[in-house]
This record gives sequence, C-alpha cells and structure tokens, in this order.
Amino acid sequence: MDFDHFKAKFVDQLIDEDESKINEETKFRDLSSWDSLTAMAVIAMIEDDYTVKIPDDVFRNFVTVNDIFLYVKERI
Amino acid sequence: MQVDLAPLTIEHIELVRSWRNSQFVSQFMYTDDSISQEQQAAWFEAVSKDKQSIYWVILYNQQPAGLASITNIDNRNKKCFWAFYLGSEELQGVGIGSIVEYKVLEHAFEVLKLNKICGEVLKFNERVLKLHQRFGFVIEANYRQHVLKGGEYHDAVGVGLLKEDWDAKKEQLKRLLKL
Repeated sequence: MDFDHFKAKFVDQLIDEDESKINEETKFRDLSSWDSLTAMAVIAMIEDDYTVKIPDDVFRNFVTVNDIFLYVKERI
Repeated sequence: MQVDLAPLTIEHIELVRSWRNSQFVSQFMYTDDSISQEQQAAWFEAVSKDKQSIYWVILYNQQPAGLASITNIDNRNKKCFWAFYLGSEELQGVGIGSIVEYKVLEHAFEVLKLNKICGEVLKFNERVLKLHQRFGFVIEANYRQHVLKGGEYHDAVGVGLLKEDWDAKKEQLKRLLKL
C-alpha cells in the first residue's frame, strides 16, 4: 500500500474537500470538512478495507494524514 | 470507544461550570459571561425542576467529557430543542460528538416519541452545523445579528430534523458508528 492508494480512500470519507490540498503533512482535523462523523467514517473505512482496528486513544494522538497512513501500513 | 449519557447530578455541576466558563466552550455559546458558583447552583435547581428538559453528562470511557441536553419539550407539537458540547479541545474530532448526537436523537425520537428536533448554532460554528446536516438536519432559519457576544452581533442558524428523516438515516448511522 502506498500513500496515494490510502489517500484516495481517505478522501472518499470527506465531503466537499479539495483532494489536491491533501498530502502527507495535512493536519486532518484542520480540514474544513472534518467533523466527528468523518472521524468515525475514516476509522470504519480502515477497519473494513485494511482490517486494522485503531483504538480511539491512539487515533486521538494522530495529527497528520501520514500518521494514520503509517499506523495502518505497519499493521497490514 | 465507549460513550454514554448519564443523568446530570449535583456532583457534576462544578465540573460543568468549569467547562462552560472555559474559552473553548464559551466561544460557541450564546453568552460568554463568566458563571459564578451561585448562578450555577441556581441553574441546576431550575433545570432539576423543569419537566420539559433533560440534561446529561457525556461519559467518554466512563469519564465526564461534556454536557448534552434536550430542552423545551413540547408534547402538544411533539418537538424539542437539543444541544451539546464537549468540555475540552482534545476530545474533538475523534467521533465522540457523533455518538452523542445519535444517542440524543434516538432518545428524543424513540423514547420521548417526538416528531421533530430543533437546534440553533452560531453561524461561524461551521463544523457543528455540518455535523448536524450529516445527521439529516435541514437549515430552516437564518437569524441575522441574533446574538450579541463579545461586543459584536453574530448570525445564527436554526436547524430541524423530522422523525421521517431520522427513520431514513438511523440504520446507516448506527452501522457507521458501530452502535
């Protein structure tokens, strides 16, 4: 899995977000489309598509999209 | 993630006051005047007797994390208002708010058997407005210069969710939230 593959699935969970603005260093909580339900949608997508379960206390410490990507990549 | 709603009790009210007086919470409230211990006690006494309101403390992994409420329960027209906030910024954006929203709406529609839930949000609080819209709330009113806050007038938005719209969405939301 490379970052672009993950990014495509990540962006699918966002509503009305400009994909070109998202890269490894994007602080996802700063995205205008980010809300509580988006967080749940991303966590569910990772569980369904990558069979990786992210505990909420771990997810709380992620800052960038790359933080999520690396966590998933190390576990598949 | 475990998110529960527990009835608000007198043991919680000083913690709730500290949340409510924090800049993080008060920035999105209609009033941001500092609340004294006496005012908080008077508020709790009033809401305890108010049969048209229900207040809960939000528990995140069994720890108090915020406040949720249903107010202005109108059994004649089968509608109410609702609101919530989380007490600290670190709890934002991890999914807690969406579970709270689901559980409060479920209570209003399934337990109280209401037909409509209304809310009001300061217009600049776009994140919460979008969250409500994702639950099916529709903007029903634009209130211009509705709130005088910090010396400035702010616009607010009135939102509403009907039972029929909830019925169409709730299973999808339940699956997503793994409830």
